[in-house]
Amino acid sequence: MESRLDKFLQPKQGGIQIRSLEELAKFQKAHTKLMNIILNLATPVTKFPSTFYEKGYRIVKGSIEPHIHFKQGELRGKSVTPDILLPNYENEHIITFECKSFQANPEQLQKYLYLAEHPELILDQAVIPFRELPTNLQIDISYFSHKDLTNNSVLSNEEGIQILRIIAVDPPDKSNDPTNPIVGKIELVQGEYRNPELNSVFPITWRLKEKPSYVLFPFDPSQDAEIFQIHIINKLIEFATLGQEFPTKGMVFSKDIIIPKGTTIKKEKLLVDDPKEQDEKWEQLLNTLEKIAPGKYEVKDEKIKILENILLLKAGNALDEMRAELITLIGLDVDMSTLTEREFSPGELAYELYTSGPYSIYQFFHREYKNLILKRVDASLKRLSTGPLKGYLKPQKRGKRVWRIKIIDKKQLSAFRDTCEKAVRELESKFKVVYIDEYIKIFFPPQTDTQDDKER
Amino acid sequence: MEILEEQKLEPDQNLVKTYVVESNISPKFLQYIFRGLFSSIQVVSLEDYMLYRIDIEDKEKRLQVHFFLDAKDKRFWRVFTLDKAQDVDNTYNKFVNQIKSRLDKLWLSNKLLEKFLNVSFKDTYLRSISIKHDETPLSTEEEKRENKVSKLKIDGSGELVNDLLNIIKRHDRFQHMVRLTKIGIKIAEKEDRNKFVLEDLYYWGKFTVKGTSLDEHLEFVDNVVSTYRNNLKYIEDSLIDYSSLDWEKKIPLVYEFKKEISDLELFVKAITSPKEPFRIWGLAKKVENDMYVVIGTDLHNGDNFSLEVTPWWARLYLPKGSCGNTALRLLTNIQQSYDAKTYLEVPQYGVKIR
Repeated sequence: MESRLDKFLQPKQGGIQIRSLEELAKFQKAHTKLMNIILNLATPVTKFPSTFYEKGYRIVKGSIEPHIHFKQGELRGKSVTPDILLPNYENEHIITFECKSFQANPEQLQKYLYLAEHPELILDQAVIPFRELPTNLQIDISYFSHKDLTNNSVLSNEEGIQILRIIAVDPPDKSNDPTNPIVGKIELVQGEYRNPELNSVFPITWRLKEKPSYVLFPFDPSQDAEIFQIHIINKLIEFATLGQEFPTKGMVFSKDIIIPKGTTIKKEKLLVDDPKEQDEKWEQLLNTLEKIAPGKYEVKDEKIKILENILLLKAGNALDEMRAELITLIGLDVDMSTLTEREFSPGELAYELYTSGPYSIYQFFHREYKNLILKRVDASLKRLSTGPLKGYLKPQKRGKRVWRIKIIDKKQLSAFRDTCEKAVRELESKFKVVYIDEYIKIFFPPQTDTQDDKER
Repeated sequence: MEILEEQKLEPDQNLVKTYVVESNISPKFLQYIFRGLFSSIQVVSLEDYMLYRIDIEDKEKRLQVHFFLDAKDKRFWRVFTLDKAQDVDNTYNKFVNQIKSRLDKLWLSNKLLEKFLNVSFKDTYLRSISIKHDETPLSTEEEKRENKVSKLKIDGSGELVNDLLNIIKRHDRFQHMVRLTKIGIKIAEKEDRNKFVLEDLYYWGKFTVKGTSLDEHLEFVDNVVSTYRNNLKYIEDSLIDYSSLDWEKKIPLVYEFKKEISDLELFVKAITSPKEPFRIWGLAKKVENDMYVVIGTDLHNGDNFSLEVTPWWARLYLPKGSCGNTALRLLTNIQQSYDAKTYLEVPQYGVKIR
């Protein structure tokens, strides 16, 4: 039976056939590098030109790989997925970028030309947000490539589009600054923009000491796979090694944690940062105790007396947030040497990656990709637990969708770090193939004809 | 009474030492941080608001140290002691350096220390300077074996030290090694010259003092902290907000190197070492011939960050909510072990911290 991948590899409009996964990876790599360059030009990142940003173009929600559907005319039922849409709200202008590594597709061009004549499609389908509806929205279609597309039979006679070419300046141009020569440039080789301000910005050049950001835009298929893994492994290292001073949510201990009978808790002694919080935290403490140990304590004159041992956490169970806070609040002495594991959900890990790492770029993707990070975290954990991190990482109970990582003490630290580094290197080679398959499933959904559009 | 530079202290008499701690926790959590570090430790809350006494005993090392901690300034605590310098420094380092303690030292950059050679509203006299540059953390094993590591150590005192500083700062081959690590100044009240202090200020936020006016000393400490706080505020107000749709909130901090890095791999390896002085845990990935991306964790506070390093500059992506001290520690350590002229730029404010 023909697999989805085989189907994907068959070109529909002639041109070069991609025969292997390696070729596909190479093609994808070049393609996303082009995308990274455009996105960098549309951000104020330092040490790389911000030409489009300075001219008022912004990356917004829906800017990356949005699906635009045609509901009327001869294209009815079809759709197109540009690589990048950059709006300039002030000038009511949008540049649609199609990054090309190989040949252009005439059917796709037809769709773009239709889109350029029908900007209302963007508005009607709320592809990107508008605070105020534009009165005269204009759309330009820019083909962007490493190659000279003016020789391309499909595009060369088409006046309604712009062709941009990115080239390495070789040898580097040292005329202005021999120590920091111009090494790359983007030229407008065909067409004109409807926003005349743009026509004068070309060629856009950059120098040896200017580099695009790989942190804000890390989604090159091969690089991304690896960097994504490194992020996950880095988080796992953190979970396994850091923050062992205080009991916190998710910690698992080898001994029961008990508030012993006879303990007295005084309101004035609660461990709070701000004295103003004392009353609120006291109330919170009373509520928690009532929930977990009714009848096992008494309250008198802003003092709590524990009448019976209160079992806060059974050995082998994971600490929840409420109990962790209680322990810190009353300063309960917990033997941290009995800490054995830390429990977390893929969602918690994904959230950490989203807020502390660069994966927020996915918020600019089309909504279909929303769960991308979660899916990949899940898949990565499965792979790591049966592969390089076997023995350190394991799923907790069937169906519960939580994971546990073994706590590493200071003596084991260096060996564990080596294991993790090895894991990163191993994944580098293995992951490429698996990842591309995964990438295809997510980015090229079979149910629409957007798949055709992606065959370049 | 005039106190002379060379004045001998009595056998049991030690200098007043003040350490400034950059804190992200409440002092009430100190008992957790200290647990297991020493044989005995007591944190006693004193009558004054946010004033504590910390008594530490290490039986193995036959050591007893007493600190007074003033935590009225929540972010920058002042820790005072009269105990012996060596005992106190060791003890202080032990608790501040604890992994994920959320406590850190001040990391005074080169120019910031230089700035205090002159306190404009006082009569200030320069007494001494120390310059220390040591490229050991950034050297190859072979260079270490063959004693080829670049190091420079200068201690000078007296009127001419300022001239010395100016000469070597401009020297082609030494300019990248002129990292001030300690300054000694005398500060006197303009109206009453009998009120004065002799201050030694170290780049890691330690002050030693003798003199006739404790107020002068406290004022000087406040002055240093206030300048430092301003720098930190610029950094923390411009940290990366990944969840924002506003790209102006995603502009990284930039380190500008004035000496091109010849061995980028070695440099990246060194700055991602969990060892002193960098204390960063990171994994690096080469993305271009002359560029690495580092995904790291600061071991002082557990904060994550990303760093892009080229031979000419590095971009630091420190997420919102992180402690800005990470950026200043990296700056001062690069200044000390690689290039004293490296500076940190906060692009959103157009501020350069040198």
